[in-house]
Amino acid sequence: MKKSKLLWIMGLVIIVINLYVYIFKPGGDVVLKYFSDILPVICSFITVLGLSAALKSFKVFDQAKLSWFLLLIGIVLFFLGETIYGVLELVFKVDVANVFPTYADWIGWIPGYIPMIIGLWLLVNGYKKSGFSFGNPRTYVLASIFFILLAVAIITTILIPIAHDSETSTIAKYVYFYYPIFDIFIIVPAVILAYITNLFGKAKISLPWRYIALGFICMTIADILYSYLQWSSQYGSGNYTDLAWHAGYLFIALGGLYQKELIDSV
Amino acid sequence: MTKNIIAVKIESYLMPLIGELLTAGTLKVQCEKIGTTVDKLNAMDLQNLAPRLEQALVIFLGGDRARKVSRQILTMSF
Repeated sequence: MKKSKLLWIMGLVIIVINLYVYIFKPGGDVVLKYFSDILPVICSFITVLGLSAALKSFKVFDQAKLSWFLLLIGIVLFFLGETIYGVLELVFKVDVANVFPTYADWIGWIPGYIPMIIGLWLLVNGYKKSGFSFGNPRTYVLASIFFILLAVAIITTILIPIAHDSETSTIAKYVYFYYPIFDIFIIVPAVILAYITNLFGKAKISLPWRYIALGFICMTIADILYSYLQWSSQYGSGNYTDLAWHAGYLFIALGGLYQKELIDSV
Repeated sequence: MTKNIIAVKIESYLMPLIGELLTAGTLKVQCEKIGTTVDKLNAMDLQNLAPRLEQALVIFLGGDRARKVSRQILTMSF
């Protein structure tokens, strides 16, 4: 069986179990907390494996390999973030719902954005150099309007209330600002990649990018929701936002495996 | 679809990889860039066309595999 097919099955099992635990809460809050902290570590580790497989299949260190390498570095840092967050809550009993930012932010998630953003933009830039069609310019105009509206919505609903909150420390405010702003830098190339892959139809060359784009879109939506929920003290173990992160990680892992299978097939 | 035998070979090779729409579009554009058309494509043109297609595929497949595709296209004149 192909590894991508195996991951589809594994991913569906993970998401179904995830949903079951979040809805029915078997074992109560303790089980929910363990589940909520351990599952992101497992999902992000699967993504590290998927992207590593893709990276190994590239023989020459060119722009394509560099892009995938940067995505892998970013995901490794996210994996560190997930692991540190879980250890802080489960081992050191830190009340992570009320402590922000934590070491998970400083060591994992904050630095993780930078290589991922560069990696995604390198893919878009590489596509530009390829000479393939970029599609209908009107779509980009509509997408730009959508992103401007999205940015305005994020600024007014998340950033301005946080900026005016006297109970939030300055450093926490910077970190709360960091995530949604950098999410926009991620979602723009991710949506461009999703649109580009749509132009390829069902061609196998488009599969890796399609799932990479889908994964980052899921994670960005989760990130934006998290910023608001965390700041308004509504985020805790078992929040459904986690599902978008888990699905995002698994889609990116699938992208990595499809990339490996694509290269092996040529 | 073209009836030029070399173009047909290239199209049937690239189509599963990059899809029908982009195969047709890319082949048309790249042929124009080397001063020919899809219908007039001949064995000599492949020397110029193959590296261009290789360059286009590098970001998806990496340099190594894109070169492999390019070499495969070069053999299509036979």
